[in-house]
Amino acid sequence: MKKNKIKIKIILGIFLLAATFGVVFLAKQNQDNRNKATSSSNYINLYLDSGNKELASNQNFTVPLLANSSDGTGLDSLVAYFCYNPTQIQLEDTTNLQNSFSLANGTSYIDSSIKVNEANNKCVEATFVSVVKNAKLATQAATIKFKTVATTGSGVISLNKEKSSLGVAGKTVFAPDSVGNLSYTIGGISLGASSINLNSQDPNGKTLASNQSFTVPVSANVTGSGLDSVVAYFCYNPTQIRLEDTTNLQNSFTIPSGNSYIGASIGVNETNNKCFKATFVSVVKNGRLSNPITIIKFKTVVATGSGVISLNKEKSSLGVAGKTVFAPDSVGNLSYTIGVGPTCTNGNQKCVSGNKYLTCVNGQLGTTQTACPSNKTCTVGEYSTDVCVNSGTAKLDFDMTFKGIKKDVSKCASNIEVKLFAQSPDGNSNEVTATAVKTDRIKTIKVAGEDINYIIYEVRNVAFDADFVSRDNITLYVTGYEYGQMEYAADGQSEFFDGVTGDLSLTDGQNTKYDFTAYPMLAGDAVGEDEDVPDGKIDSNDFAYIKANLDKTVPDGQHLLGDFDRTCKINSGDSTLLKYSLIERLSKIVN
Amino acid sequence: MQNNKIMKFLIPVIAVIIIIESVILVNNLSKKNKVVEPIKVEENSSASQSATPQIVEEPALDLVFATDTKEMKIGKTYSVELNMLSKEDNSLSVMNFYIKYDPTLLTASSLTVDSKLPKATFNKIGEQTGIVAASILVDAKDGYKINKDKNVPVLRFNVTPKKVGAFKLEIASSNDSKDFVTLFTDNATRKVLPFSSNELNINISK
Repeated sequence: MKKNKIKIKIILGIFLLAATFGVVFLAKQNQDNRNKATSSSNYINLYLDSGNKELASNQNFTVPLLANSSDGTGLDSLVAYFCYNPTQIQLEDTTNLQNSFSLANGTSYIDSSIKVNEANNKCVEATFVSVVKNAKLATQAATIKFKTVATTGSGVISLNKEKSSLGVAGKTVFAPDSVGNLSYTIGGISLGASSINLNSQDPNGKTLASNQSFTVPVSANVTGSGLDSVVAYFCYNPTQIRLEDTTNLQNSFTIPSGNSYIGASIGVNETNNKCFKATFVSVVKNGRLSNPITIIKFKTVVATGSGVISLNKEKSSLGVAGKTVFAPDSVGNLSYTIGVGPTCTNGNQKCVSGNKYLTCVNGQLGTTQTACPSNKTCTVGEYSTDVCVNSGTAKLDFDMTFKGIKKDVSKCASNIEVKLFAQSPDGNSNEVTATAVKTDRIKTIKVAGEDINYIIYEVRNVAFDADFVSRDNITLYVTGYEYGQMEYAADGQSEFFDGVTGDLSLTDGQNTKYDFTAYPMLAGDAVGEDEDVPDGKIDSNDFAYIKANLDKTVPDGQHLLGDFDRTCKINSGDSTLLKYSLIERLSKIVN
Repeated sequence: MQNNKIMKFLIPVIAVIIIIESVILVNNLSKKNKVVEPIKVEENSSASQSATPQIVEEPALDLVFATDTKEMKIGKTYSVELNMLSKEDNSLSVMNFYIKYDPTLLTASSLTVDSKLPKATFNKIGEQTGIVAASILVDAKDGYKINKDKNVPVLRFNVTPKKVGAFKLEIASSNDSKDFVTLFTDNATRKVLPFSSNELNINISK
């Protein structure tokens, strides 16, 4: 038992020893690590925030001062001793050095001073500590503000490792393990043509409706480079259009992903225009703006009008990262029209009541009524460059004959109602009715070697409607009761007219007379398909009717349907007339 | 024993269910057939497409094309005849024949109206319009008499195919053109008589 107890105690002891050694070992290892962390791999680095070492002349630029301990516990104090070529770059404020440093929150500026001139370099020793006791400095404790003073050149902003130092609370102040310097180049930058343009996204082009929201994308370009900032200074007529939100200007700009809105401000009032200066930069550090830079949201505030949204070239600017800010070579403006699109051609006229007309101005029919001259009539409903036309005083007289109606034979001949359809190549047409009045005059026409004396009928004082304004190249289509349609196109016409344009004319204030007697109207329209009245066509129905009513008679002077030759009897003569007409018609259409 | 009792109960129940299902299945199948049949009939029935029932008159005349062959060669000339078969005794005052063809496929020529018919008032081939026209207006008081079942040659013309393909000759009606309406008028009543006609389908090869 005793031996066992001893053994147990021994084992316990060994365990205790082992535990003790273990604790000690771990503690020691931990201490070693801590010592290692605080004594090595601490650094101070400098770098340009743009990452672009190309600088333009007279360009301000900033250099963040980055410092930390490698274990991440942070620093209590920082002395940055940096040097630069003062003939190329300068601190922004060399008189009051503190103004050349932007401090991070929690960082306090202690002191800086120009130390020595080393190899033509100016050196500055700047000291920063934590504002709060035992608190740590931010990794980017400060930002140094420089400006270029040369147009060309290159150099280095260098940290002096030995003269810089880091402070860790409760420990010591020591030199950094490493420093990072910055080299730069000034000048030698070549940029191509640059521009800012306004475009329209309105679905109806640039024609806007009243109270319509519309968007205007802004694009900016410079040849050979991207852009990291754009200032668009645009103006518009506030009595016609407005930004959608004039209270919170930012709401009037849609910013595509990747671009960032910095601010907009109302500019000056230039010739009754409201102007805005809106600034945009890239969201991503060292990134580039993408087009569209922004989309400006407008809305119309009037029913009609037109104007221009203009970019001010001098007050707009483009920025190229690490380079410079410059005015664009060109700007593109956007014109717009508010109200319905053009509904008429400028200068055209349209008749209204009272023999007056309206004139089209700016694509819209005006409201001012203009009276036609007293001797002219407004052609109602028509758009034209001259709607006032000569009043319908032009009249038509003509003589005509009817096939089969002959002197001494046609005892039942009497006046015949005719329809007149006048047509001109310009599309005008008019239909009127008239009476062909039987006369005692005759027109002798040789048919198959035989002289036939046709009775001449007169049609007089035919007045077309006022809106039939054509006066030349008229063709006249005549249809008589029981007589098929004939086409008369020339004075003295004696055969079928085969042309396209008629040669008849009318003269204002006169009766123009034509002679169509040499080309008699064709007979044969007795009945229609369903009713025993003329239907305007000469066809086999008419022949069947004639056959069915052959030898039917009426007393002299009366009219008998189907008695085309007005002999007071339906006979073979009528059948022959009908066949002749049919042959005439079919010969024209079967070709 | 108890299992047997259950089986005795289940077997009839299942049998009943199967019978009911069979009945329902057969019933559904027969319903399906009933739906399909009228649809086929409707699709194929021109009468059923009309909203209002139409009284179809029996044709009084048949117009029949005739030719020696339906296989024709390009450049060769073939004779085509049109015959008229009367379904009943008729007396006609007007006989208008209009035959339409495609003038790009063939040339029509040498139109003659049968000499036994009354003299044609007008007969012509419209080479541009593609119409063979013959209009016979019968002067005779009693009209042109044609007996039941009598086949009368009407007109004859030549066709000369111009292109390989198929063409057809058919009678033009009011459905085609108001100007070229084939019609027959009864001499006594002036009524237009209904007629039927066939198409002459020709294959053209080189």
